Amino acid sequence: MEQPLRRQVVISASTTVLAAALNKALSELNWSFLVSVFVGVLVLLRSYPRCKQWYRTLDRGRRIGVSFLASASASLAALAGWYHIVGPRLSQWIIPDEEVVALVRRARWITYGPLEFDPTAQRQPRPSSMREELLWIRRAGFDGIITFSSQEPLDMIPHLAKESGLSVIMGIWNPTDRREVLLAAAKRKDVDGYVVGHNRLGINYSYRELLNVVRELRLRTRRPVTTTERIGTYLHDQRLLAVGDWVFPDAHLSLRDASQTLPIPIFRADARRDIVATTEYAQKIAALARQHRKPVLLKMITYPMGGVDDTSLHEQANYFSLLLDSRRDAVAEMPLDVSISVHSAFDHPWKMRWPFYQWDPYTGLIDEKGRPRPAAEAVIERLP
Amino acid sequence: MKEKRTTLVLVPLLAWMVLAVVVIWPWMHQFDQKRATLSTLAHINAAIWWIVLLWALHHLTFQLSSLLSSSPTERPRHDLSPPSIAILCPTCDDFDEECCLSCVEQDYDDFQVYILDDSRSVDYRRRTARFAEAHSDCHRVARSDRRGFKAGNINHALREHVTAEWFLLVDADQRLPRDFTRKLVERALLSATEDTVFIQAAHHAFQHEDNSAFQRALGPEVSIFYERDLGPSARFGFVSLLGHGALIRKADCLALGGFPEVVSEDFAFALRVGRDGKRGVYAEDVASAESYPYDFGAFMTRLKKFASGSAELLKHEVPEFLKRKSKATRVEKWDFAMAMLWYVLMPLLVLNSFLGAYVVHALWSSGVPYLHPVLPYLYTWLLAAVFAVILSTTRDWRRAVRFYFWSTAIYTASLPVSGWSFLYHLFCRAGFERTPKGRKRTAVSSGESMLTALLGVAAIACGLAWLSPFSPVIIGQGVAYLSYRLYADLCSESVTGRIARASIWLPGLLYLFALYAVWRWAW
Repeated sequence: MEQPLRRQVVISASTTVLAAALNKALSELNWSFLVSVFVGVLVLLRSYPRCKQWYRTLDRGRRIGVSFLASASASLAALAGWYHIVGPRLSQWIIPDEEVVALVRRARWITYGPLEFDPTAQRQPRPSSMREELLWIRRAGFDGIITFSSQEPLDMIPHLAKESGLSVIMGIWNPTDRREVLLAAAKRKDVDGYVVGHNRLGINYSYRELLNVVRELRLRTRRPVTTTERIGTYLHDQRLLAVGDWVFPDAHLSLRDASQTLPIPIFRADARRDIVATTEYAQKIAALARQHRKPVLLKMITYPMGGVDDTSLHEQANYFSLLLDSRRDAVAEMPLDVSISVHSAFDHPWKMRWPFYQWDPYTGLIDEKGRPRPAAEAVIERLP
Repeated sequence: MKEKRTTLVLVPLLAWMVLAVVVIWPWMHQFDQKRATLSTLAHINAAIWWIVLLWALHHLTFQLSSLLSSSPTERPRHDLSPPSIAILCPTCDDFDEECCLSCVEQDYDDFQVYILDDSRSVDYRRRTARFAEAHSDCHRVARSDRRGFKAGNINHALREHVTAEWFLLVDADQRLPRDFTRKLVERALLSATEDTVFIQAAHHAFQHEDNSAFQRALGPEVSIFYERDLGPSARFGFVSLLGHGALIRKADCLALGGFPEVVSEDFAFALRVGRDGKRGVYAEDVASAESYPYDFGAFMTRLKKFASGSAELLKHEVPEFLKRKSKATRVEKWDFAMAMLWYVLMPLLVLNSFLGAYVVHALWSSGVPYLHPVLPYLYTWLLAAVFAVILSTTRDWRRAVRFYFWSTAIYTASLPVSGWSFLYHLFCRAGFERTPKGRKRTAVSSGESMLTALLGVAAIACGLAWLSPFSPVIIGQGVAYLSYRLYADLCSESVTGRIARASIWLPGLLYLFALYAVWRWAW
């Protein structure tokens, strides 16, 4: 091996080791990236003498032009490298922890899906009706909404919500839909945080796709970003705890009556039973989140007022009262560093078939005329 | 005839196809699902911009290849006997003694100068006669009619008077260095083969302390064209004859029927040369000086002549050149088609800007991401590449920046009138309008000024009514259109002249602001 080539290989390898260290520091070891660094540096070093020789053959004018173009191209490449490769990987440090905590601890988050929205019938809500519903939410005493999709016309919700004085965590249903992602990013002025994906990891998108969109959105919008999966998924796949700025698990219960041994599952409302299940999950997720120093906001804390046995407006209110009261208890089992968001603002009559439970259409805390149900009053009374 | 290398033609074409088909088309497709009318308009708008991009990529690739290649250094051969040369100076009421003096003072051994005088003015006729009498190797040739414009004038001289093997065409605003003919002949002996009909020399802008502000600012265009455009075209595309500073073999010229009697007789002749399977050679290392139009009025006269001449070419000469039976190579045909495309695009560009203003506003206000994320990078890089080409010829930052802003404003302002001129002459016969020479101010037509100004007002109104990141572009165009009359005073020392020179920076600044807005939109 010739001496210069050996030296060039050593320099390339050293650069690659440095890149690997940086890569590792960012909790990733991407082999294709490292191979690209090694080959890139080697090619650069190998071609440098020829480029120098060629540069000397140019007249003064051409040298000025080439130098300018090379500088401009390198600057653009650096900009692209920052925005698409380095920046997203470092984006977790651009959002101050206090901002995330302030977002999560903000009281009275409620999920919102417009009453007129029915994806099964391709029915889209009108802006006027959404505006009215958001006013009802505000009047009921909630101060923030969580949405599920940024597709048109749902992308209008953040702006309408701001008009009503509501904070917004904007949902992106499908992270692989560039249009939806960019529509969401375009609404950053009216958005306080983003949640990318909802219980579809491994079905609609991969972990890598999810991670890329979370990072890109965070860099573009400078807003806290996270994802949502079922709470049990976090317990098995702890990568999810590192994805977002806060942990935002779906704490939706099944209301399955475990005391029944029949082959067909029986669903029945029992607020006391379900409080225990919710608290157990909250304890587990809080313990994991502490290891990652991430705040927790439970999503989809919900209870129906119909659809299965023993449900009623009273039982719905009872669930929320018991859950929130348990947090005031000095010996509370519900962790105090876990925040709660409730589901949902309105009933969703279209949630009739699989994968929804038979009680899923009846989870609204405000009725279709805008009147808060007892559960809404219980929540507002107990959340500061 | 030897097939030229297709590399340089294929690179921009492939880049464009990848961008258009792989990147942009799927992106555009998302609009199909929403608002059908807006989607159709967005597609039409984008399609026109993509044709403009193809044109730009083609020319930029050629310019960059010249930037990246070292200067040609071919050693002349002295072992062949130099041919006799006739230097032809066609003139029509624009006789310039300095030009002809630079012709008669050539250090070449065997040459004669012919002043081909088509002047109507008695004064000019007297001056040419006096000059010819004073110089022994100089002959004055006049004819009884003026049929066929400049082409008819040259053909008449070639058939009736010129006996030399080769002839050198010189324009009234040229200044030949003393060694110009000798160097060009040496180059001809070196490069010319049996199928070589003409050798086109390079030019640079005539530097003189009396040059107007217009000439000083836009003069680099001459060098950019000859140094960066023509060089690669000679190797990878079509070599045009530019009507002056070119050495032409008389026998071949007459065999082709002389110069076609059309407005753009030089291009038409080059097309016939290519069609016949013969070729032109470009001598990049042999250059003379030529004057840039004195002011905006002269510039517009020349541009309208180019536009009408191109329309005439498109009707009469281009179809034959592009036909299968034409012996021109495929790259020559493609390169020439790209050169002509600009004239076709001019009127479309004016209209598409209005359409673009509406479409971008409609999509922007509804939050639809119309621009692909790669576009801000592409636009910025294109701007940087164009500036690198300018900088390589001016070799001075201030001159390059001034050229960028002045040329942006001037070419934008000229779009509607030159576009209209092209369209009009597609259907009506073109007339030969001589480019004004010398330091006389040329007025612009008041009708043209008024209509262009009205278009400018409409453009600014649309830009303000349809706010979007595209607004600075249409407003920039509007400002340039509105200033059409004002630009005629660019060389004046009056107050309006000063206002014109200050406002000429505005369109370029607005375009840069649009680029900033695109970045803001994308990020």
